[in-house]
Amino acid sequence: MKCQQARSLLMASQSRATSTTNPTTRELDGHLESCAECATFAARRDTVATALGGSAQPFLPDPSFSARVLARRPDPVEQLGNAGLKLLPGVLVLLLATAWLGTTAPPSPLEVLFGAEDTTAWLLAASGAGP
Amino acid sequence: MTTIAAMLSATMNAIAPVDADAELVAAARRGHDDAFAALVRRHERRVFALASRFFHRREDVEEAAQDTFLRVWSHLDSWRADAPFEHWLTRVCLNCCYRRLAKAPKTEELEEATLVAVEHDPTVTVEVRRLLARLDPRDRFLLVLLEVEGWSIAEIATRLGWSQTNVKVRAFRARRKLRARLEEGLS
Repeated sequence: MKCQQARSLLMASQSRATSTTNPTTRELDGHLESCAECATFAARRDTVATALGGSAQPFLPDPSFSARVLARRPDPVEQLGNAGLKLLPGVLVLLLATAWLGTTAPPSPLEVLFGAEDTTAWLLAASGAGP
Repeated sequence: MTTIAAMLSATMNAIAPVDADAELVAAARRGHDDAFAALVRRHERRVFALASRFFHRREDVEEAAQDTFLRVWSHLDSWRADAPFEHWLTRVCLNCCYRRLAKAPKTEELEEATLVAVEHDPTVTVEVRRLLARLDPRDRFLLVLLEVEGWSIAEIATRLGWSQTNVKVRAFRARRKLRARLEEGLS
């Protein structure tokens, strides 16, 4: 077994304390006995795995923890305000787009035919409500 | 040392029926602060224990736990009672821890905290302590789940709500970096 293969196997396994009847495990153990550098690698890896899990003693919450959480909750009004602030850019863009369309929109067919000022008079005359 | 899975099952066996969570969540949704406070008290030990896996300073664990419950409170409507509340809470907590680790600058203070935390263990040699301190916190997060908890890629993806591809890529990178660190000084 080559060193690279041995180290890949060591990285892939969570623990080397697996079945010793496995041919690959036996081969790996044989390699570790003959290769000092891979044995060092294996020892480092085992130590790191132990340190990763065992380094932290679980902390316990104190009796006032829930009160602190409740006190940190954002005010509903503040939340609405924040939501409004998040929406503000979108609303502004929408307003600007509407204003821009209003000033640059093409004239309607009635405006083309009769002119913008005559449209209302024409409509009134057509409906019989005019003078 | 107990794993998170063992801790979860032990707590679930020890406490009142799961329905109690649903009732407390429903009451909290209706605006009952007492119900939310009861929900926090019911699960605070589990959240602290989980956060302690990733942070070595009490203030960091406290902050991560507070973030978790604040997120729970602001997303109570998104919890559906068809899954146990503990599972959802675990997911929220893990993601809060990950975000916190991802944001944390890699400072001397963090490294020192890690070194102090592992110093009590006589089996940890100086070189390994240095190696651990130099690991990216996000990589350490995944390595804890993979190496210590023994979760598979699929389990991590499910519990974090990430895609399996995402977990696979991150796990591959974390292991590759760890291997490079372990090989330092070796041929």
